[in-house]
Amino acid sequence: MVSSQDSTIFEFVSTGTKGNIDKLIQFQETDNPLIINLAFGDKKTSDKRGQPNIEIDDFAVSKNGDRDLILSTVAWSVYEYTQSHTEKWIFFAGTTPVKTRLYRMAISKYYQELSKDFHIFGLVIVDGETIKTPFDSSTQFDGFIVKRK
Amino acid sequence: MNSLKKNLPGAKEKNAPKIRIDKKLDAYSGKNLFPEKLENANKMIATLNLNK
Repeated sequence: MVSSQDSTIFEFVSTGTKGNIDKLIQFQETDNPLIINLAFGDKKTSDKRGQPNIEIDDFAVSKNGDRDLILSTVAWSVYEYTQSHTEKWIFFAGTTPVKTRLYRMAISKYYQELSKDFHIFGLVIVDGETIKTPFDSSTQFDGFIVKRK
Repeated sequence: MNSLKKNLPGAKEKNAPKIRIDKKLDAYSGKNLFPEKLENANKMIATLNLNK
């Protein structure tokens, strides 16, 4: 895995049944200075006017057979980013309810390990308001937010 | 399962992926590579009270 110097962008390769797929992770500043959005997707390069250009396939479902490894790699990037940004809350949500559920399942599976290093909350939208609530494996969350301990 | 546990954060440090700095990525640091995801994130956190 490679990283930008400020640890806000990470790049790695998914190797699986469909070959090698370049993946990008970005920790993005949001409208709330305390909250960082975690985003990742497939990297595609195109050539616009003779110049290489990175484009992201935000909604790609690569199905390269290494889903758990990808999620693990993304989790490691959160460890890396929060090491130098301990005051930040990291927000993430799937682009579809299916993906959000996938993240819930992954957090549930490794909650005991992850909770040693992170405060982990689920987010639910109630009457137009986003509410932070302690994570549990059975609630259908709309997103998640974590903070390094 | 075993290979996954080896890669699990919080597992032994020696199993952490090696992270190398690539200055080429610095060119993209200030850019919004995921505009739709950021827009959705801002919508969701607009009403979020972190202190509650």
